[in-house]
Amino acid sequence: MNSKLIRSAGVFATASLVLVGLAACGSTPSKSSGSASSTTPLIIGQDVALTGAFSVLGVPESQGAKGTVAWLNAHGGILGHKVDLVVGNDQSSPQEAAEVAKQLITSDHATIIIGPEETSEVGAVATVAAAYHVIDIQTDPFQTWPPSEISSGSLEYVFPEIMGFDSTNASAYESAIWKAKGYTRIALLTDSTPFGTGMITPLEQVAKSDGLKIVGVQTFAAGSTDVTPQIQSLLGDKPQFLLDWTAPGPDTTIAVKTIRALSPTLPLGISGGQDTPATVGALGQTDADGLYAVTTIADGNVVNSVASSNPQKKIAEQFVQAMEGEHVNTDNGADTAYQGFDALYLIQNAAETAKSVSTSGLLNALEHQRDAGITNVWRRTPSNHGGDINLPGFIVRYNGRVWQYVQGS
Amino acid sequence: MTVRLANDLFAGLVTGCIYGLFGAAICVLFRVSRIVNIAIGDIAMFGTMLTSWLAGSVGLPLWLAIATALLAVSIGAYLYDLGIVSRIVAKGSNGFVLVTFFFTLALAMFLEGLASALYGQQVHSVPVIWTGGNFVVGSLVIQRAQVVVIVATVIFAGAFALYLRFTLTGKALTACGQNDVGARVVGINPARFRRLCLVGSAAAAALFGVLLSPLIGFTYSSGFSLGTAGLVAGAFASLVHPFRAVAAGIAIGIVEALIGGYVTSSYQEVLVYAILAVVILVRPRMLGALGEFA
Repeated sequence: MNSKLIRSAGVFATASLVLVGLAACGSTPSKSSGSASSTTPLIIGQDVALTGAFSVLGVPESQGAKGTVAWLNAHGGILGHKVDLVVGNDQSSPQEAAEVAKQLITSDHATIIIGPEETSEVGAVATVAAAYHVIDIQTDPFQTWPPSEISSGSLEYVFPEIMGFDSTNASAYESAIWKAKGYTRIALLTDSTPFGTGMITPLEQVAKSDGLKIVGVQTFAAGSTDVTPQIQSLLGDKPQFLLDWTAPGPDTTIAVKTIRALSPTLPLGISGGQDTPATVGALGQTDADGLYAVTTIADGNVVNSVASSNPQKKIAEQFVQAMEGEHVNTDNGADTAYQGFDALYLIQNAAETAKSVSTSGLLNALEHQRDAGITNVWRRTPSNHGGDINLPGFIVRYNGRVWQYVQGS
Repeated sequence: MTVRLANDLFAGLVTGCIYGLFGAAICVLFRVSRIVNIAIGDIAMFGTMLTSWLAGSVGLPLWLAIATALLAVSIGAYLYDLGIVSRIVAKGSNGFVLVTFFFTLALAMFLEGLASALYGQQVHSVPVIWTGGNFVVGSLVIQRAQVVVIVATVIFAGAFALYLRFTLTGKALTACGQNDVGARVVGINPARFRRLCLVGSAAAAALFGVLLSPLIGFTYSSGFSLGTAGLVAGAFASLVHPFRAVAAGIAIGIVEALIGGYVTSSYQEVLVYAILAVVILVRPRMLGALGEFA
């Protein structure tokens, strides 16, 4: 009797579970069917390094994206669609970046991917985006996708947020500092990361076109505990300005400290995203004093100082407002929060142009996008998904208290 | 040329002291317990990040921040020995060295993750304990933090030498390393000395990190490369001779600086480790007791 009762209860329980499961499946809207109504959230996946070597770029970018999503949803979303941001940690690995992209698309049903932010990972994610026909807004500033790759289909869905970042940074130093002060002998110190070595060619191009002389280039292994030999070699070339283009973090710290020890008065500039109190804290007030850094218009010191006619001013003010409104601290190391903001702004702009969040509508809108963001001003075409017009960046200088905007940049 | 050579040699000496100190810390523990502590660099990193936070964010005086961080690291090492290492020892294992190595590797990863979560991704450094400007001798520039590192190396190596040679507990430590069964027979407790060495080497590593951070800055991922460099220096001392580890570390640092200054800066580390590999192939006896585990 008891065994019959137990068996019956088991059958009843199993049947109940099956019925409940069928009901749940039936009530969940299929994300792959039909066009989204304005009640359907727009799921955006962010493929970003939250751990590992690139997390110094990825974490602020993710925070910027989250803050922007919160701000967007508080202001009606994108074409009335609430934005759901799903963040995947690629652990600073290209293989993991591809896996994260796949998961964001297949498991989380993201219809757009933003990221990754590092050069070594972009190819892997671009391949996934092409395979699944999903738009990928890449936030790495150093990729150079040629038009032939776009038309071949392998990069049809990829849209870089920034291109030629190094040339705009080199141009920023050239116009604000070197030309203004008559410096013609420039030395370059890099680390062995793609970020570091990526500056060599753009700097040589800027020097060639503007009559500057690159008197020396030295590269040290990332993570080195001593860079005295490299710096001594550069100082021996008698530069008037030394550009330290190393990845934000210990490489910049050891380079600046060693340069200041060996040559305390040599004008010195560092790479982007480091005009922060964290940099000053790591270097110390003495070594940070007088240091130049390149930044974007999103920097609070810059956006308040540039002319109203600057095409990026309005969007930069919107960014600052959005971050302050969502209490996102953009001053937390590498200042890449604006990259997360710009990626979402690109999507919003494309959706409003297309009046649609469908992939085909967004694709067409992005391929003809003409707008200004924080990272750049875009003039995209179907054969040129980069399309930026390479406006120079902005230079700031630490004056012992704050990072002050340098006029002329 | 002479000035440049002098600056390179001095910088290489400082780097070598760093490698040697971490190598010596690894040797001290291995000598007593046969544990290769690859987490030594991450312990230094964590102690430094904690000191930086205590001095910077909490506002403690520097000496108190350092003391508190060293105490915290020591307690952590004690608990790690109590909870994990002693259990592994009690279970016994044919592959004891490998098993404990992987446990210390896990500790290294744990400390990296914890530091990343607590202190973020940016660079941290502790103010140099000897404040003031650089020393300039002709064109040779000497930073005060560099002097501190060299002095710390001399003090640590010298004090440890005296301790091993002239104190009863120092001799007991040596006995544990040479024959732990024999040591137990004469009433020495190897477990107690193992714990003492683990706690002591962890505190020493944290202090090294604090002294070093004004020169290089630390992020949560800085520790592993320091531990690896120390392991290489320790390997040339068979992982049992701390003083040879210091000497080996200094030699590696100087060779690295000379290669960077006069051969190639881009492939400096590659060449250094290639040279080390050749040295080991030519003279494998330099690895000494490590040959048992090859």
